Amino acid sequence: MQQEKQFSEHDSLVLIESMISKARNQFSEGGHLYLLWGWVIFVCSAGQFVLMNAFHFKYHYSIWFITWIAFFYQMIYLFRKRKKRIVKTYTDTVLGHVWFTFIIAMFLIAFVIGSRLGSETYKVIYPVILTIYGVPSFLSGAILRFRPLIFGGISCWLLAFIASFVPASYHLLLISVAMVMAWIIPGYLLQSKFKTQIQYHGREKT
Amino acid sequence: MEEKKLSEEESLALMTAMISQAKNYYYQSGLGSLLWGFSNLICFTLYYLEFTWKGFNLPFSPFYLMIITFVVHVYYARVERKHRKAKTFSDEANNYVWIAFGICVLLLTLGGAIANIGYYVLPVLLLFFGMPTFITGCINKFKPFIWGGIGCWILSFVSFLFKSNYTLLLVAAGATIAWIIPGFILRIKYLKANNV
Repeated sequence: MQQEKQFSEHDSLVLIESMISKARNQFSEGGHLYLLWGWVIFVCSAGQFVLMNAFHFKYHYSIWFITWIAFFYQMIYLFRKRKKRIVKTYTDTVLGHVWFTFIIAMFLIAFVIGSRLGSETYKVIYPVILTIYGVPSFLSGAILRFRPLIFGGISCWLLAFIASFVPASYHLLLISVAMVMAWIIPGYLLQSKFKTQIQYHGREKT
Repeated sequence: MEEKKLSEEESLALMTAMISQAKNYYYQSGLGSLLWGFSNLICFTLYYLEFTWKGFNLPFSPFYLMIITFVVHVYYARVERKHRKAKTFSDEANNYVWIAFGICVLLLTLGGAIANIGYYVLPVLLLFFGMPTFITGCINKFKPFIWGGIGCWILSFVSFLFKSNYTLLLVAAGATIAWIIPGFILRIKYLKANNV
């Protein structure tokens, strides 16, 4: 049996620090999914608004089927990413719970309210969705200590409050604005942070 | 962005915090959970009685009792903070989860009143009850909260399907399964851990 290497205190700390550092770099990769969903929902909400008001298309809501394509893409992306991942941090686990809860809340809202309220749906659903969008954005930002996401979450809540005063027919546009504030802008910032980190670590190695 | 290099002392402090989290200490006394659970149970039950029982009229809205609850909560939170030895990552995460929940409930009640969404405030409230409870349960690996959160979502689903005055009682039931029962379990564990 191969003899295990004895680690000094200093060696152990260096190893732990490198593991923490590796795990930390994982956060920045999240920018990809923020951008994916940010753009998909932006296109769907703005697209539905245009189809409904400019073209008076009867099946304006069908544009939301794009989310299914995004969903399947995400499944494949996450599956591949999980294979490559070296360390799963506690932060990753907590964020996993936050996003899982978000998915359940969205499912309940979209399917139950949608099927139950019929034509009344549009009066209720979007302000509630905006409130729920704010939760994972705010929590991810607070947990990752990444301010653009915190501001994005707060923006969603402000937009949900503004929605109380705005006619229901314009709520879709508020969703588009929320996506820009909560997911698209923070997504690009995360992406650029990640690229900078790669450059920094690359230089460090050479 | 340049990352801060951790000193050996900082690394050890981080490890201690992580070990403390891994040991899963139930230093939380469960008082906050019981306080809010009972407040919601009492307020929604009183509101139901006021709504359905002729001759039962309170001189004020039962929800004003929440103001007292809030004051007591702030007091207990301060006392608990003084007794706490270390603030772990999960403490911070829990705080943010409940801040987000507070904001959501405030938005729902204010926005719901302005937009006049009426009955639908209640099922959405139950949905919101479930979110922080479930996340807190997952973070602390505390199953009664996880089940409480799931229970609230089931009640929310039921109240979306059946529009009735009983939904007020469903909200009271939601508070019981999400906070009162787990609160008592948490309290027992806390007292045992402290040999009281």
